[in-house]
Amino acid sequence: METPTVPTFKLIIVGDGGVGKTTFVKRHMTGEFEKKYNATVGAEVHPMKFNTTRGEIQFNVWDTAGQERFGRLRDGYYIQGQCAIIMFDVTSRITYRNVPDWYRDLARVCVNIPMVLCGNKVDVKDRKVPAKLIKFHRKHNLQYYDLSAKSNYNYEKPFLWLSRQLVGDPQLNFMASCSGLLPPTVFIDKDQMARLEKELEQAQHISLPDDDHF
Amino acid sequence: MAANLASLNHEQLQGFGQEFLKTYYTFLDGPAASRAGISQLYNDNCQMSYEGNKFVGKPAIEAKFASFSNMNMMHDLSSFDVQAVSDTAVLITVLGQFKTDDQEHALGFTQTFFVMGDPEGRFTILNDIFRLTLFNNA
Repeated sequence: METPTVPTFKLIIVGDGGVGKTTFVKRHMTGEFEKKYNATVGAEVHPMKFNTTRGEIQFNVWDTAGQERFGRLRDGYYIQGQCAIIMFDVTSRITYRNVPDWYRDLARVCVNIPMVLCGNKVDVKDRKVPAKLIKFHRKHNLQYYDLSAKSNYNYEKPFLWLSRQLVGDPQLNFMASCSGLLPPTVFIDKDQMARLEKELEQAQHISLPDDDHF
Repeated sequence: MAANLASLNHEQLQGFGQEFLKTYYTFLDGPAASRAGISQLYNDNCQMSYEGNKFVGKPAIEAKFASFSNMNMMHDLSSFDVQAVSDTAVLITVLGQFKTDDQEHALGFTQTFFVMGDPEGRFTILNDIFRLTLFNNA
């Protein structure tokens, strides 16, 4: 019997239609090349491998066929999920307001799995969800990252954080900076990057109101 | 068509269904502008279950279809079945696939219509149930 040598985890990506989930997964070239579409459940599965200081790790990243624009996802999409990325679009407030619904649907089927909240499209100048408004993750023990799929900004961060959680080693690192990504189609300069990081840092010190779920 | 559906034979009923479905999906297909006014095909007392969400009345249904504003849709029917319920009502079920221009893959769907005729021979949708044919297990 063949035993898998690479530890492999089902990673579920959810979030409103149009936030950039598919753009995000398609940037990983081997994952995109080896993806398999499962029409029965309506999922495209992208196998993404990363070299870490603890050996190779593989995420089978589940992306929808767009059915979330018409209603809730089926339980089958979530079943046996081992980690998750909840994505919203920082240029669209409604996609952030819907984050608690995505979290609830996920948490109902996948109990206690590590999850990362990602605010995508931070390259866009007209940001509608500033860092100081992003608080949902702090109440539910999720990690948060700004993301810009088109510029590869922070691309590997969610995968690195999830790897550390799943392997149980907070010192785990990726061996090389994430290679095999499509070249960026937009660019974030150093000043903008520094500003994004400063705003995020400041947002962590804002106290949370007790009755606010955001 | 006059209201005498119960006396139609199989071919005539299928023909009736085909006409109805052609009108319906012509509204749905294409860009957002094409879907405007689709609620005129529905009865004043209509209800629609769309992927488990319920919409009651023409304005609610119009608003639901308007929420698909940014996509081009295209429906492809694999099969449909029609049964007369009475002289003035039919049940139609559809199995098909639809694609939107912003997605790589088509999605399967089933849709069931309860269609009623009024005394003037005008037919409208009283009930509409729509589900994507997506399953829990591969």
